[in-house]
Amino acid sequence: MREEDIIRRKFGKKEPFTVPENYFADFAERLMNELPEKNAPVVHTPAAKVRHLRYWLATAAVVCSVAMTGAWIYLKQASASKNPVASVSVDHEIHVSSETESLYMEDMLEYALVDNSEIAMYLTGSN
Amino acid sequence: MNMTINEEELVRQLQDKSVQRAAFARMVSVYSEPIYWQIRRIVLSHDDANDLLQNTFIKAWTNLESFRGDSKISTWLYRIAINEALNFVQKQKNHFSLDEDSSVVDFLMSDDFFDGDELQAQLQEVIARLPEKQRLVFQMKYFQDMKYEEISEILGTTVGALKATYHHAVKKIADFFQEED
Repeated sequence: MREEDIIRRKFGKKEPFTVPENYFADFAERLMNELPEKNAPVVHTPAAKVRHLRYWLATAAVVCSVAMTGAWIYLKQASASKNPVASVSVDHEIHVSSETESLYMEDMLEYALVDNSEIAMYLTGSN
Repeated sequence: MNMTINEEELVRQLQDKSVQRAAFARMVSVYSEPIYWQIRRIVLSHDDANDLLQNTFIKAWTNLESFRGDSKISTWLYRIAINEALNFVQKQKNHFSLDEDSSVVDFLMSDDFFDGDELQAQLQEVIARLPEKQRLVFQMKYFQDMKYEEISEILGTTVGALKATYHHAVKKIADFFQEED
């Protein structure tokens, strides 16, 4: 190959790197001194279990906190609308129908990430 | 590399717990030098090459049970070493900022374990700038005189593809220095 000849003529094949004196002679001994015992027990299981448990605990904590925050925001808004800071006289009464209450309940459940079927299961005691 | 080693016997001893450690020490003394040079060509610095050589053998020791002699010991060690070295280079990408001209040259010229001149340092810089595969193939073929079949086993690439890769690498290097002249 013509290009390879150009490189060979210019640089040869000798590599310009060196190592400390006796490096290779000493390396094997140094390495063998640092090598761990083969029969030393390598325990992976507890650490893996703890990591697994930590993952689920963290997930549960996040879900709970989101649900509680949602419920709290909803309840705060609901109570603020029932007890207004400033009273305003109105000429007509506002009637909260059972249908409106049901809609509020659905919103709250959505905030809390609770499914209707879960409530039904809870109330009927079924699993 | 000591070619008188009985590879089959060494593989058997490496699997035999009663003589495993002694066999491993033999393996280290036989293969540490060629594996070192392979790593050194990739990372350039002696200190890094020394650390990675140790990591390579510690990894080999840890995974000794998984080595069943399906490939040659040297092939297995080269694979571990190249992976270690390439991962290291990937993590240290900022170590040699290849955007700046001559940073590899500057590093090598101030390295106590580099005894080449500036032109040779420049060759290392050009090699370092090649795509990863071209760089590996060039180093293994040009400096180590490895056969394509052996490189193919280590890198898991066909001989045909390796020949093309080597050709591209050689052409790029030659072109660079021809332009310089």
